[in-house]
Amino acid sequence: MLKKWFMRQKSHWLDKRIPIAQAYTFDVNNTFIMPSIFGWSVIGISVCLFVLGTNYQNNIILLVCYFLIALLLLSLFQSYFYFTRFSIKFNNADEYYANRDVTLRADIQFAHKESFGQLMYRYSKSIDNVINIEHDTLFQHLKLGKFARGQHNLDRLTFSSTYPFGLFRCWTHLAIPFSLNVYPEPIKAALVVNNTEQNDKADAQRLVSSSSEELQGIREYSTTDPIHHVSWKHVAKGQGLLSKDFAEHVSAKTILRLKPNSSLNLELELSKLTYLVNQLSRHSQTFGLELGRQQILPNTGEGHRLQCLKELATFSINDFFTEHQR
Amino acid sequence: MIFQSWQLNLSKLTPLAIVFAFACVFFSVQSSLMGWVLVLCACCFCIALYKALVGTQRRIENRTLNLLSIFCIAILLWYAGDFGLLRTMINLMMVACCLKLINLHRKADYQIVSMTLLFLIACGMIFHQDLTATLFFSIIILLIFAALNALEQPKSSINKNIKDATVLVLQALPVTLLLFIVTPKLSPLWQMPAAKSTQTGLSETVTPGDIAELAKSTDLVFRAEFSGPLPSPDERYWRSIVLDYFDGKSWSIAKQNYDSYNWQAPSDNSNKKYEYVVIAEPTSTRWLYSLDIPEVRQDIGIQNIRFNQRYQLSLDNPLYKQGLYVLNSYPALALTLFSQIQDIERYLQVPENTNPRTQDYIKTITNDNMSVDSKIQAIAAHFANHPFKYTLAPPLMPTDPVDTFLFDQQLGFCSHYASAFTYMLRLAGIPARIVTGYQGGEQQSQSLISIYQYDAHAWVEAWQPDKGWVRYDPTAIVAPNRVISGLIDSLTNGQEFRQEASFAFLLFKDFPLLNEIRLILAEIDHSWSESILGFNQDTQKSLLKDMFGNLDATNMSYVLLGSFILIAIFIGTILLIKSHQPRSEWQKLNQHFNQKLSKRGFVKNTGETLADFISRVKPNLDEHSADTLDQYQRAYYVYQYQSHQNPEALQQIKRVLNRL
Repeated sequence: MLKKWFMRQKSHWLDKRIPIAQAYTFDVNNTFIMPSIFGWSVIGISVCLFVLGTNYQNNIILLVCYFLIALLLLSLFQSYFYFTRFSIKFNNADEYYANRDVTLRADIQFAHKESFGQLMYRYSKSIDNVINIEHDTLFQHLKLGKFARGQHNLDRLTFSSTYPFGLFRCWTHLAIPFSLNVYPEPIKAALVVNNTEQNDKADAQRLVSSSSEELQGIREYSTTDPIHHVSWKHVAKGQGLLSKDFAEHVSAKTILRLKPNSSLNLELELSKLTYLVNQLSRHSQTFGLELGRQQILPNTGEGHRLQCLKELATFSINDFFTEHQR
Repeated sequence: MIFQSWQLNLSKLTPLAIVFAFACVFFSVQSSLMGWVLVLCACCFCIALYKALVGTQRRIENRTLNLLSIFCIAILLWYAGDFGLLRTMINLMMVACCLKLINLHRKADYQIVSMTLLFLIACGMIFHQDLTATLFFSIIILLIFAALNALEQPKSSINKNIKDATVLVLQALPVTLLLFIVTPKLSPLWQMPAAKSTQTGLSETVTPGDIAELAKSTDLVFRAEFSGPLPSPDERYWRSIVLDYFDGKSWSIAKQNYDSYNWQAPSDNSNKKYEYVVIAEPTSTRWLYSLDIPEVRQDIGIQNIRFNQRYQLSLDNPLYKQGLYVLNSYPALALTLFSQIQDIERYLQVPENTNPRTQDYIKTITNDNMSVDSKIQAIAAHFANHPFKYTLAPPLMPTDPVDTFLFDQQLGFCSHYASAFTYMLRLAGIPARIVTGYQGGEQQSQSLISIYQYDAHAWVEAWQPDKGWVRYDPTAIVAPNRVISGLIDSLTNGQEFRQEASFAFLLFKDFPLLNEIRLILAEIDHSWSESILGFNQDTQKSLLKDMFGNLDATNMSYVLLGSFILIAIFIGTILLIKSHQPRSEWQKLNQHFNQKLSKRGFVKNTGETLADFISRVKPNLDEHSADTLDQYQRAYYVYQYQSHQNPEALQQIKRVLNRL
């Protein structure tokens, strides 16, 4: 109870302190710095050395004590300095599937000529992961762990560093500026074709494979053509981009439909649909999606695929039931 | 959690550096380790070295380690009584370090070992404070921090780790020194367990032959720095311990009385006076060294120096660290200060039933009618008229040693002569005693004399009612060179010393160049002792006074505040320099380009793209420059949009820039 209240206060405070942004530069407003456990131990040792040096009237021990204090002081500033050279920009270009490791793409820049060691990040209560910063790396993949299907508002992501000696820990909690759509995990399935003209009961099963597509001819490449239809043989001969024209066997009006009795193994069914959505899109098929009340009209293209996947991600069992209860 | 459990992706440096640092620390504290801890350390070192070289990740079970540590702690506690608190603590730390060393896996393990090593280094500093040891310890500390740095950036090269650590450590040094100078020096907060000294020194019991052992040591005992003229070699009798009880074989102190007297030197300036500072190395005794008659000008830190009836200087506790004190000595004054109060009878004590031949001999050469002077001369004549030899390796004389020495062997070291002489004086009814101390010393510079253990000496004082205590040195009768030019020249066979000296540094004396180097090193060591080791409350006060004038509480707080501001400015400057460093080669080139054009009067506005800037500038330039600008722009975009890692494109930019 108290913990919950505390967490709420903390997140409230963090929202005010480090507001959500598309890109972050680590600076005085969003960076925290404290001695690490090792740092506290070294502070403790310095105190012990001061007592030891004073009691034995030993100047060398006192020198070591002051040296440690000076080093702590310098390393405090160094830690902060190096940490605040970082800037980070989150990228939402990837697709995330349930039960697979979600890796978030982030553009992390380190603005100093010296190569920096490591930046650590942690999502939620997982252990620290290490990013090795090398020069001019464009994207870093941040592992967030596995997620369930659905739309997730992410917790804040913690970045930290203990450079140069592990005496101080700089950290920041960054809010990710978008919510994560985690699609169902694709599971290989056979395509059940439900042509709109046919009755629901007349289900026919057919495997979709590229071998079933017959080459019809070669035509000029248009930007909407999928890249795997490009006739590379012709490109190699220097005849420019030409597309292979396939005869489409599958009806233009394929509708993917969630089976009415699939409430028990809903996730499995959604997973299969996800697989099919991806497969059909890969072959530039036109298809529609019907999930209970939700219907997406047949269409094609990347935008359509993403819309379908999003629908699959956010589909809830309640939508399904209300439909049938009516 | 900051101590992670992830598998470390370590550079090779970290484990090797830690193992190496462990070995160094081991050698610096090994004198206070228990036997079994030595064995444990050796085993753990081998295991850790193997693991570091092979890179195996095999772990030792925690249960095994815990059992082992409980076992070790039990043994430590069992012996704790015999070993004293300090040594037990050192042993405990060493054992902890060992057990952690064989199981280095997590980052935290390395940090714990580093921390323990840092503490052990400080313990080593209790025993070793000289310059070489300090340099040695500094290198270990640097190594530890390089290892810690390697933990934070395991992907970078060893060179970079060492460089990064060195830079930070060097930056910390000025701050350290400033803190050292301005932080008020405190008196000991409480009494610490004494570090049992391993130093040799004069003993409070002298059995003839003992000092010969000391003579084999080339360890420094103390240095004396004179302001004014140096005493001549035959005046350099550094009194340390006075022995007055003889049991037939050994001399010792009859009763340990801690009397203390203050005396004021006569105020007239006619008396010859030596003013000097003594920097004494740690010893196992509480006796200090002085020329007669000493007047204490400044005590050692907070320890009071006592001056007693026997003209000795002493401390309440043995000197377990280097000590500095200031004296005035009045060599011309007669030792008659305590003639009224001293118990002169005790200096006539002789054991009965020993050395009968000497007793008979004294009865034949002296009688009660002789004056004190003639008695002494008659006794001294014995040494002059017989073929006595001065040697470091006298034969053993187990029974009636004085008889054997005087009439049979006639071979001996200074303590033999002093012992026999004093005994004979007492038999003749003259109060006499042995004084041990050091005689001579090596002149290091115009004002500095270094005294080594091999300068240890024993001489005799006889009481003459009119003159007080008078010094007689029977060794000088036999080997006058001992007093004038030191031990080595006085030995009839210099080889004797050469064989005995364990550390033959001294023998560089034979080679002028090496001797020169040795003297320079001794000089550096002396400055080190005086400036760093001798830095105490008084020197701190006088140093700060020299710099800032009189110090009251307000001034002192200003000084402290000022030094903190100085530290802040120092760190600020470092960071400022750092943040103004261009980010990469690429950035450097951009900066260079902008500089070149601004020299020609064109300044790129912020937010202006390169293309805009160049098209704005181009009309004002000659054809060649304009062409080069175009080339630059092309190379710039090639680099920026193709790949950031293309060194070819970067080279192209550089080439074009040079033409501009």
